[in-house]
Amino acid sequence: MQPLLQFDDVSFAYASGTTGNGAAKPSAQPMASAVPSVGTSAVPSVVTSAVAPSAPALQAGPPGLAHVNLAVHPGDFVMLTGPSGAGKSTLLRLAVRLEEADAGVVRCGGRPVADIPPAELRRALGFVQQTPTVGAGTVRDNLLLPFTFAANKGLTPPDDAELAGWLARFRLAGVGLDAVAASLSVGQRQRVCIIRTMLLRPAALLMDEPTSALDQESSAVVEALTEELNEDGVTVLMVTHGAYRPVRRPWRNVRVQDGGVQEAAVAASDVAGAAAVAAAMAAGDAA
Amino acid sequence: MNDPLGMAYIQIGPWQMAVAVVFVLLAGALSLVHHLKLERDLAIGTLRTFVQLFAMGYLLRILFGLQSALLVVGMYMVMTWFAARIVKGRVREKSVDYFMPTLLAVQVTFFLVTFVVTGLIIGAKPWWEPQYFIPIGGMVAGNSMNALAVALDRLFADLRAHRAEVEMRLCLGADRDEASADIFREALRAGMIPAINSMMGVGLVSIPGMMTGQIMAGADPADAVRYQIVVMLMIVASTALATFIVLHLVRRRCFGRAHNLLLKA
Repeated sequence: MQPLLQFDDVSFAYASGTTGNGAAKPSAQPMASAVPSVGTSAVPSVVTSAVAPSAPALQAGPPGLAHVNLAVHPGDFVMLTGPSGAGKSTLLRLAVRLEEADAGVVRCGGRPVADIPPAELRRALGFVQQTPTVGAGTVRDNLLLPFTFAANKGLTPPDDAELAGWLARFRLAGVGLDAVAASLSVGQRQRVCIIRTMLLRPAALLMDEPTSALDQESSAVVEALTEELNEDGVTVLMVTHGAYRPVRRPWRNVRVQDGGVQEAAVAASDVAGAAAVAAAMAAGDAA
Repeated sequence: MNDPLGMAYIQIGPWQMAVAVVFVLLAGALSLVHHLKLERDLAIGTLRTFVQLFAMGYLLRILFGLQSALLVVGMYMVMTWFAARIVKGRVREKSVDYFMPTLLAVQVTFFLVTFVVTGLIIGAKPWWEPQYFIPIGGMVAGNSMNALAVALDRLFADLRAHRAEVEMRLCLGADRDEASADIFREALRAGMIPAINSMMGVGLVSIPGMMTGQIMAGADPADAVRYQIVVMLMIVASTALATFIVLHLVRRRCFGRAHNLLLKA
């Protein structure tokens, strides 16, 4: 099976203050082509880890990544864990080219992301920001924002009935399409943001700590819905610092640490712990 | 207005100049008494004012006398280069190179606006007649310079402050222009507003410098007013044009090839 998203010996270091000029990137292609393609292996979930020893590519300072290999297959639910500053968010940002790799190749559907028009890439890999960002105007204005961009002109914008359906599914039935988006709670805004991303029908959701700014109840809703979307076939990569682990879906635990990634076993205690948390929440809801 | 270099006005001689220096000495005395430590700056500033303006005066006299197109071009290059340098000194951003866009914006604006004023409105012959082209161009460049510094500062500050909004739009399929449309608009407004505001108070509070000069040189105030109106409108156009050009060129330098924002918070 072709990986949906694949990191092939990817290295990245933040320049101080700003990322380097796009034009000044060292050419990474020849280097990467020499590396055997890990993700094309027939084994469904393949991750090799290569933590560079004292990686010279990494300077002291902001988080960087060195020689990262990771393959994500359609339908995967990947939890990216690890200490803060390890580069978990950077992995997601590299996938949608908000950052550009210094070396190595990131592939989406087998194609190097550098060869995919940015708008097309970002439509396939829906990025959900840590802090929900809504613009001026109503909930409807915000949900239809993607359809105002030239790159999405060929898409048919959803009608009000479809939008209302999404709101109901995301437990936002009480929020009207005409409500001012900025007046919503953070938790409601995050759900609006996820709907907005989903309206572009992405193959994957890349979520950068989507619940870190949310209260417990909203977090639970977002987490449950994410599992639901995964069940529908949407691949999920979620960066997390919290205790949440998927309850209803099988998932992969990818640890990002010291500039590299490592697939960790999903411990039984994790599953049990998550189930306990879910049960406690359910009990809390009932009370 | 028939003879702007004529002697219809009272000239200031060396002794009168010396009296004017008393103004500075008063300020210096104040600085000494109150320990403001401004004496040095006052002295240097006064000296620079004398040297730079006398140099400019002699240069203009030579320029007006020679009527050389080549010299006018040289003057134009020097003035626009200094304007771009001063903008660079005022804007704090260090990670984006905006010197060449700034220089280009000043040069295009200086040339276009000044040509329209001297060639079409005033009807100087030739249109680059230094006596008109250089002072008018100087006002265009000076005002553009202020607008450019304000607009660029605003662009960079807003892109950094609103990075989340910009990246949100990028992630939803916007290109760099769509993602930064609001920021572009606000920076353009910021660059244009001072010139527009100056049209509000003119004639009520201040008599503009150019008009003052013409009146003191013996021009009919009604004639001086016409020149001043042209200058005011010209300055508004200059700030708009220069700001638009520079923002258009510099904004794209704030993004990478993948339409990714390079400026970090």
